[in-house]
Amino acid sequence: MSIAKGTMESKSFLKKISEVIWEIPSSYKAGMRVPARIIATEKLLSGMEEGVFEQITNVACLPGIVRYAFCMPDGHWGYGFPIGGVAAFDLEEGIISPGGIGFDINCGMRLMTTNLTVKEVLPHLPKLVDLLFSRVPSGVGSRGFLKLNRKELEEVMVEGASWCLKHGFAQELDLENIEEQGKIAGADPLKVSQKAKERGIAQLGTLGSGNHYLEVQKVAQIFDPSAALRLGVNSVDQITIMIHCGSRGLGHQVGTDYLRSFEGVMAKYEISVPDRQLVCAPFSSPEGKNYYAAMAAAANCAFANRQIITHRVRECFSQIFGKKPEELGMNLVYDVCHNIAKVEDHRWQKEDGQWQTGKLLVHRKGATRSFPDQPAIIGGSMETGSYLLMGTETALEVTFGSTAHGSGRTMSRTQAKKQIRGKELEEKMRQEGIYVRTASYSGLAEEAGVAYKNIAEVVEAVELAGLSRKIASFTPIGNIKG
Amino acid sequence: MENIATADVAFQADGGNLEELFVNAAKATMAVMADLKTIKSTVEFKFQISQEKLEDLLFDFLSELIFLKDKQSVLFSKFDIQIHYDTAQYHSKGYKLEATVWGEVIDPNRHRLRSDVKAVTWHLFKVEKKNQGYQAQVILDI
Repeated sequence: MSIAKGTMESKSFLKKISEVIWEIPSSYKAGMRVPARIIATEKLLSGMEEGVFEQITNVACLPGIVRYAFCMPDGHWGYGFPIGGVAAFDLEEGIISPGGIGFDINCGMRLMTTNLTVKEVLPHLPKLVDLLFSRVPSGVGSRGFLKLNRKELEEVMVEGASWCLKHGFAQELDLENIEEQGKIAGADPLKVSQKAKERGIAQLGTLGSGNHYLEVQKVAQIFDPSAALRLGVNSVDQITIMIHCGSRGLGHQVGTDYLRSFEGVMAKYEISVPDRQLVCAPFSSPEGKNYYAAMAAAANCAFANRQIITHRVRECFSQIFGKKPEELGMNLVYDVCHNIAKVEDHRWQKEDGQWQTGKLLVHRKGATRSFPDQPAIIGGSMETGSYLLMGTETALEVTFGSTAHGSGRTMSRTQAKKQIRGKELEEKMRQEGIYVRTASYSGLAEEAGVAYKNIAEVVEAVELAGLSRKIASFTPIGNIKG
Repeated sequence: MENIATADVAFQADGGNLEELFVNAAKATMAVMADLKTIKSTVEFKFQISQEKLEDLLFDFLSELIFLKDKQSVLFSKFDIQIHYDTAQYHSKGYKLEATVWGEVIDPNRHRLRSDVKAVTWHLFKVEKKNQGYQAQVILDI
C-alpha cells in the first residue's frame, strides 16, 4: 500500500461529483458494497497518497455499510480506515471495527476562552507556559498527579466528565459543552481488560506525545462575529486555549486487545476483510457489543482526561494572573471527539431514491461530528493554527454529519526528522512569537508545520462542501507538547 | 524506514537467529521512544509468551513491552530472550518465549525522550526467514 502521492492522471478512477466531492464507484474493486466518496478540492486530492484510495475502497467492502465510505479533505493513510475516514453501518447487518476508531479512542479537541488579551499575556508567557508544562505532564511514560484506585478508575470509565464534576475538576456549564455531555452511555469497565486498566490508571491528566498538544492561542480572525460571540469568542487577540489528546494507555490497550481478539471472531461470523487491520465483528454480536462497551469506557476516560487538564489549565492561569478562573472568563467553548463510533439517528437516501431514517453506527476516525449548530474544532500544526467552525444541516445530508479533524501529514516522521532539527525549530518558533516547551526535541521536529498540509485549504474544502462553516481562527503563542 | 508510514514509524529488524531478531526488534521499538544510550539497567522484568505462529509471538512480545512501558513507566535497553518451539502433542504446540528485560523508570531530565508508542500494528507486519537468519518489518502507532 503506497504512500506515494501519484498524480491526478493516476487518479483517473475518481469521478467528479462536484468541486469538492469525488466518487470511486463500487465497480472499482471486487467486494465493494458501496461507492467511496472523498471530500476534497482538486489540489488536496492530487496530494493524497494512493494508499488512501486503497484503504477507503477497502472500507466500502465492510458488511452493512450504508451509502458511502467517506474520506475527509485531510485524509491520509492509517490502519484499516484512512485517517479522515467516516463510515456508517446498519445496527443489525453492520459491523464495528477498531480500525475505524483508532488506537487512541476519543482522541479529540477542546477549546476554551479567556477574557485576556495577547498584550496582557505576553509579558507572562514564558512563566505561564513553563507552569503549564510542569502541571500537565506530557511525553513518554508520563504520569498524572491524580492517584486513582481501581474503583475510582471504573467510575471514570462509566461517568466520564460527570466524575470530574463530582470531584471538583469541572464546572456545571462545562458538561453542556462537551460532545455527549462528556459521557457515552453503555460503557462497561468489565469489558476493559486488566492490562488496559493497569496501563491507564496513572495517566489521567496527561497529554501524551506525538501530535498531542496544549496550546495558548490568540484569536487571529473572526469570520462570523455574532456566532463567535455566542460561543464566547469576541475579539481578535483574545487569548484562547486548545487541548488535543485522547484516552492514553487505557484506550490504546483497548484498541490492541480487541484488534487481537476480533481476528478469531471473524471466521465465526464468516466475515472476510481485504486488510487485516479492518478486523471487525457484527455490531449485534456479543463480541461487537463488548468492544463498543469497552470503547465507550475508554472514550469516557478521554473526556475525563481533557477535563482534568482543563482544571489544571485554570489553576495555572489563576496562579499567574492572580484571579479566579471565573474572573478570567475561562469557559469551555466545546469538546469534540475525532476517533469514535457513535450510534446516531440519521436520514439518508438509498440507491433507489427512497429516503430512510434510522439509527446507524457511525465510525469517525480522524473526523469530527458536525451536526447543525454544533461547534467543531479543526486543529492545524503547531506553527500554523486552528479553526472553530459550526456544523450544518448539509453535513447531515452529505457525510452523516461529519467534517475534517486536522490538517493531515504530508511527510513521514522519519522524513521530517531528517529535514528539521528540534532545537532549531524551537528557536525559529520563538522568533515567530511562539514559546514552546516540549518533552522531546525529536518529537518536536516531527510536528513541524512543513510536515502538515495547509489547514486553511482543508477548512476551505469542508466549507465548500457545506459540512461546516468558519467561525474563527486561532494562532498559537505558547505550545506544550510531549 | 521513511517511505512506508506517514503518521507513524516503520522499522526493519534483522537477526542471525530468532532471539537476536527479537532483541533487535525490541531495541528498535524502544529507540523510537528514547535514546537507549541514556537508559540504564536498574529494574528487571520477566515474562513469558506462548503463540503458535512466529508473527503472533513477535507481535505479543513487542505489545508486552509497550504495555510495561505505560504500566510501570519504564523503558528498556537490555534484553535476554529465549525462544523454543514445542512440538509435543499434548501440550499446546507452538513457540514459547521467555524474556528478561532491564531498564529504568523514565526520568525526563536524564533520558533523551522521543515519541511515545501507542501500539504495534498489523500493517505490513512481517517476520521472514532470510538466508542469514530472520528479518521483521513492523509499523508502530505513534
